Amino acid sequence: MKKLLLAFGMITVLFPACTKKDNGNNDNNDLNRKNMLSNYAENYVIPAYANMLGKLTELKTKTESFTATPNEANLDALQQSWREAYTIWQRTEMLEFDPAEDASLRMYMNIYPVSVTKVNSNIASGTYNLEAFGSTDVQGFPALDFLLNGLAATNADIVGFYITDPLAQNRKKYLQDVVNKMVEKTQTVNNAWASYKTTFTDRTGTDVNSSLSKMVNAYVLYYERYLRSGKIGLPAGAMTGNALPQLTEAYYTPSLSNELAKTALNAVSNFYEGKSYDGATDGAGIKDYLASIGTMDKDKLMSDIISDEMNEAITALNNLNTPIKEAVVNNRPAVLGLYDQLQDVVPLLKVDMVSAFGISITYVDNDGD
Amino acid sequence: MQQKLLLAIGITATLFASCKKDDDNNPIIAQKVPYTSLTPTTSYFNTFRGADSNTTVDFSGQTTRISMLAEMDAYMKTGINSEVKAAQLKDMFVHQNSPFNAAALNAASDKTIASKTAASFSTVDANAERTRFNSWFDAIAGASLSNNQTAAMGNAGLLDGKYLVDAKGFEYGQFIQKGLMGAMMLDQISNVYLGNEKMSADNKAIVSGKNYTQMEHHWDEAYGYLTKNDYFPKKDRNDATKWLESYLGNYVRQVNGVYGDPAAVYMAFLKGRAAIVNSDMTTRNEQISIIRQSLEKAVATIGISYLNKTKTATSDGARFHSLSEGVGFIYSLRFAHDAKINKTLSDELLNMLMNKPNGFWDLTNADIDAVRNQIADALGINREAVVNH
Repeated sequence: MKKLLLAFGMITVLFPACTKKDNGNNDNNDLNRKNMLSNYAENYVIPAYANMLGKLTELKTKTESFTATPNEANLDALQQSWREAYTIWQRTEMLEFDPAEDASLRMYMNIYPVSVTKVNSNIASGTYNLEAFGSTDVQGFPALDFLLNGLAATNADIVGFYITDPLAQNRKKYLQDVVNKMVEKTQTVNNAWASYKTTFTDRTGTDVNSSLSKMVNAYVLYYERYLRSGKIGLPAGAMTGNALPQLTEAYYTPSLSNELAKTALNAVSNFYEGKSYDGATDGAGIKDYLASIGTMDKDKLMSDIISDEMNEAITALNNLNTPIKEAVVNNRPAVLGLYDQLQDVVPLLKVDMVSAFGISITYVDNDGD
Repeated sequence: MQQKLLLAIGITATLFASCKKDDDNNPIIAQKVPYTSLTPTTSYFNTFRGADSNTTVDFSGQTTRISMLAEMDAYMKTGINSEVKAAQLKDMFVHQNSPFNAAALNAASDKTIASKTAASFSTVDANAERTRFNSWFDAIAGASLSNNQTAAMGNAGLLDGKYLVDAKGFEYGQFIQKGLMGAMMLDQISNVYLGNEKMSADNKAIVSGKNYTQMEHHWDEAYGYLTKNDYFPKKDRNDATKWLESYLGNYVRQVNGVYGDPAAVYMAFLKGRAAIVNSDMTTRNEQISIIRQSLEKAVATIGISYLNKTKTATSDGARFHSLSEGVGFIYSLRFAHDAKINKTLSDELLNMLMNKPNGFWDLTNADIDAVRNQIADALGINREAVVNH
């Protein structure tokens, strides 16, 4: 046996050019990647931004109605539209690569917690620049959450902030500016994809600027930092030991937080499987590509292991019946258990999958040097 | 008659010369160090040996200065927990009052970072750059007084608990560290040691008490600012995920794939050094060009990459850290040889990033893109370049 191995080793040494034989295989991988990229662009990304833009356009209409006629009925309608758009955003946020990355879309949509002090000071002064890096925590869905749900305990009192309050005019303008910025940025990304699609599907390599590398990096980054940590880990204080409920997504609408997290996790799972945005069809996904490479752990395909772990995390999240904001205080062990389930997926994506793909994680921005 | 004969010889010589083509540069004298013997892992030290059969390579002065920078860097990093004193940094910069922890560094009394900062510039311009570093020392010291607070627009302090920034979000530790990679390392390599003056040094006589010629030594001093290792880039034998490079060399190392080839930089150093041994100045000069261009492109690519990384940054801290690193490298670009982003342009770009009332807090993606595009286009680098750091 040893001799055989030795002989094999020698042959390998003697014929280093053997690696070239892989060419045929590489062509296949290129083809697989091209199919996968086309599936993602056509069946997920492009419909996702179109739908997002539609929801935000509705939100804009409802905002205009409310600021024109601030009353409880219009506030109800606006709150409802906000909830729908925020939920749809959960299926979009993981797509922060290429056009969305260029536009830093997330920065205008969902950086939380909102800085109430800064929002109030912006409203009071009437001067602000929502484009600037210093404005990431004063806009997007979290700022709307505060402006639509967090100003007072009842809708009747909230409406008062838009009628009788001395800053009512400024506040209405701010509300509109925030919504307009969200529409503007999403419009930019949506438009860009129309012409970007070909670039995306043609970049079939595995180098740092390949579509696979960019998409997977954005996806894993989202899962790790924004889903696992942002939605669960940070409010639960998984790293710090102290619960910080004020970091919960949709802080002023606790009944929504869990829904958002569930939608996000399901979206991550569907995206992995290669499902279309509407969920109707199952195309060539990351999972299929990983399966075609054939990476195994023990006797099981890595691609299946990842699905199983994601499903376990989905079950754990579904089992969390109290709002996250309360659960991190009253039932912290359960939330930490959920965090562990979410965490189990991270090394599988970030190490096993990424190395099977022959790409690398590029987003280590905390290099500390 | 004689004239005709001479003419005939001349024509013959010309004919022969034109037949020889590339061999022009490598006259009949045998190459003492054959270029074909050099590979990306050839030992720089072992390849070049003197009559005494010991290596002729010696660049302890460079390693000493890099160690001084490392101590300065480590001291600045304490600013997140304790006060950083500007006087201490200035002492380290000009080497006075025994400022270093390592006794060997304090003992190297003739070595300073300051004297090798912007050294290729005119005295007036060099002085301006040293003054800039002094003002950055004051600024990091000032920011460190707020290290018990969270930074925000208009307030110095810590971001993400680990990045010390001033009221404008500037992380001076990065400006200084990355800035010195340009002002000291890049400048010393590209302009000073590979510059005309040092490269016109004697290459025949052995320096008294040494085993190398003066020109050989200058070349090695350039190499010593890139790496202290026997080849470049070098991995840690005990941990294949780690590299043994630091500062400029460690960033040049990262710029690979479509954006550059660190091994090509090393090959140019090796081949150029061999050319000096071979007294083959044409080949040497070709390698100088390769080194200068590769280093400029590497620094620019890293700068662009950091600007692009602000877009995937997941917090203000990460964003401003990335921006601060980018600023340091954009500053450094002025120290490339015949720099495409020269002092004037580099200052303009820095102003675009730093001159708003609230500094980084007021910047937008459009501001970042404008700076990035200018650098990328000037050097022919992909605007979207992202390097694995």
